[in-house]
Amino acid sequence: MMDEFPEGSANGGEDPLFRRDLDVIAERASADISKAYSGREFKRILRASLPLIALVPLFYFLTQVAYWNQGGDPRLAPAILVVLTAVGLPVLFGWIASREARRIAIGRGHAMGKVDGQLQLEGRLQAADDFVRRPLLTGFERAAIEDAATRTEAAKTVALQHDPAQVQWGRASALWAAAGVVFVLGSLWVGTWEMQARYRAETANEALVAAAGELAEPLIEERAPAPAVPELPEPKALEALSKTRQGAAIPERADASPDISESVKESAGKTGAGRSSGALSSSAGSESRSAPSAQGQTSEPGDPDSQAKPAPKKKAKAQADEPAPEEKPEDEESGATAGKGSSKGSNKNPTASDWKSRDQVTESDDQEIDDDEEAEDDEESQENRGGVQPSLRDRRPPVSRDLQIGFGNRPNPDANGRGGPSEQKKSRGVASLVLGVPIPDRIKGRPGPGPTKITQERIEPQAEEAGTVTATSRGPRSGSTGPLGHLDLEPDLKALVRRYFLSRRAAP
Amino acid sequence: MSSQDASAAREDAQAFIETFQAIKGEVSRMMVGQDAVIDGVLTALMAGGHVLLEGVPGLGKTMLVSSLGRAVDLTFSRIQFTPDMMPADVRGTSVLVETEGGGHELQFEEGPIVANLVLADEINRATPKTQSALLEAMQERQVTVGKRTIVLEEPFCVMATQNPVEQEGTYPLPEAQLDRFLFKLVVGYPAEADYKEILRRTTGGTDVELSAVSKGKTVNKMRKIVRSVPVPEHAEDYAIRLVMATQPGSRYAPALVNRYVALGSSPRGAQALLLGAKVKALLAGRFAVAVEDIQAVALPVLRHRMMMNFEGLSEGVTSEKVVSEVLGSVEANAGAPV
Repeated sequence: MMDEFPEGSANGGEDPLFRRDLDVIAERASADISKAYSGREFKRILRASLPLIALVPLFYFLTQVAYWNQGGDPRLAPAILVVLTAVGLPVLFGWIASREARRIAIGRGHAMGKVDGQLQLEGRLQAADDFVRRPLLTGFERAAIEDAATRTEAAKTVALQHDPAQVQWGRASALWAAAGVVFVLGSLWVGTWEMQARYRAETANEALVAAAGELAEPLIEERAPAPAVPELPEPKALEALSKTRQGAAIPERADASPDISESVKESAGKTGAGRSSGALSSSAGSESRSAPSAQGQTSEPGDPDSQAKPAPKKKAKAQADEPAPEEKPEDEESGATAGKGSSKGSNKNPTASDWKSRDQVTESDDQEIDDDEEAEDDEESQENRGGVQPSLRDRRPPVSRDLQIGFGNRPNPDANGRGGPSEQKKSRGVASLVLGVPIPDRIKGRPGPGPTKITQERIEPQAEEAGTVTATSRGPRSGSTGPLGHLDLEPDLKALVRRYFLSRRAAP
Repeated sequence: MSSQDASAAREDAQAFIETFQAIKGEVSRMMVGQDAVIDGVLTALMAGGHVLLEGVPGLGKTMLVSSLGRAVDLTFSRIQFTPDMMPADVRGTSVLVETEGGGHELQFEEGPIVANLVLADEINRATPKTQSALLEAMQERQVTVGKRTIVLEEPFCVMATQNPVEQEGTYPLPEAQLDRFLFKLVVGYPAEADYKEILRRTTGGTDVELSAVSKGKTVNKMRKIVRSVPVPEHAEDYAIRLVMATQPGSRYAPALVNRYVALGSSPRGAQALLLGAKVKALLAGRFAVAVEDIQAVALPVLRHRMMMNFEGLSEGVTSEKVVSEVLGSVEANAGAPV
């Protein structure tokens, strides 16, 4: 046994092969760890990016719906492109994260520690790797290096099973994927529905044109052709298109033609034929909103058919309901009726004509206007009387100005607080005009308590004798001194402190 | 030269293991079913530290220490701490003695603290003033009385016992006193199988006679061997991180520590971790400290160096639970990518 331990000896005679073995082990372990972390990072980022699988189709779906509502073609991109983007983005992000993870330098000590852990070497390789770099070695350090050198062969051949924290996919991942599928299907449905809607609208349009073409000539003969007006689409066709977008059932092509022809016939036979288009633009908000936009898309200036149809309806409506002789130009009226994209179906629309606004005022609105006028009259009359004075409708007696004293000490039974002796004084004069409601001005205490009576008595002083006490010896106290206050805690507080310390010192 | 150094180190390590096992075997003749406690006491003795034994009465705490004193052939003294004990009763005092010429002079009488192995029985029954008389002896290995300083002979080891149940009339050890104990060992009940052997040994007609299998000088040599065990950098870093993790507010502290711990371990805790780990490394047949050795001694080293706050006490959070949490949260290998 050694009695003295040397401080250390030079580390010059170590086996260079051992150092090389350690280098090989460290490099292999670092590569394995880097690979494992790279894979873990790929999964982690992929897991974090999973919402994109649903969000990308959702964004596409919402964009489709927005385009569709504005009348555009919702088929913005092929569905396969959306699917590829939704799946490809998380993969791309995962790949980038994985590549970044590969660049992270793995510490040599960390790598050696992993090898030690896998081979259950209890830190022998890590310690030896540390000791071989020291300039001076003690006997125990050399022994540790030699001990580790016998175990490097196993370390060089072992494949490091590095298992970083696994990524938990969980139920949320499946939900995101399912949501993505739903949105993709929704996008496909929107595109398909739009195609069907367009097809139905076109067929209805063709039927309308065919049916209205026979009746167009008499109408054209009645009225002079209007100047250049943007082409107005057929109302029935627009209605059919808007109904298809709202999911409403539309008649089949075979059923649609008789309806259209009937309405055309009816409008041709009556003077107020344009009322149907007017109602379309004023009463039904949703229909009127969709109509102008559709008109703007389908109109073609200079089309004689489209110019001829709405103008007579509008004119006939105006002649029937509005007695005003002032006649507006054809183009202006037709533009107002058509809405030109601004008609919202409300009677407060500034662009709507007067006759239409009066037509659409309901009875309840009239009642409200009457009430308002009555209230304004009341207020006006009150302002004329001074604004804050009580209303004459109250029928209260006028304020008494009697300042006479009451009946002896009793209060004046007629006192109303405005004047004269009374129990409660109230504000008067300018102060009473400041507020609408008079606030009583109470006086606490008695203002005049009256004279104070002072009674004095005179008594002659008398002498008193004070007895003297003689000094005597005093013995010890007999009897108890009674209870004495002590500084200890009360019993309940004592118990509280005792419980506290008992819990504190309680054995585990 | 280098191979000679290495072979000498191997011989030392082997001698250490043999000595340790010899002492343990002798003590185990008397103590039954307390292997972990015997290991802890011997580890502290070899590492040069002091031990606080905590357990209910009747588990053989006092017998363990006295057995150790006999097995190692050390001077052994026992101090039964009581509330009326004074510091002079521990350190010693000057007494007036009559000289041959009829005169008188003051002569210093050493207290029971001057011994190799001191059993401070029921240390928490003494007042803090008396408890503090041990502070200098435990840390500086010397006793100062007046102007006289007595250097205590090595090996010097204080083994204190305390009873966690009878808390009435006791004085809990202050943090400064607790910090000076290398280990705090909790003595538990023996297993069912050990009861028969205990009864046979203690109620039979023959007494167990212990013989000295080692000496004080040997123990000192073992202590030097322990000190010469090298600590790799990663193990040193791990011990530091472990101690810092017990300190609320540190970068390594887990949430449990930040919430329930009022006072964490001091740097003395890190020293104790490495000293204990060196003994464990030698016993495991290694020549350098590993992370596993530090983990093995973390509980007895750190459990008495932490103080719970009020919330921790009210929630019943024990220091053992905190140490377990710290061991789980601190990475053994620093520098991991994630």
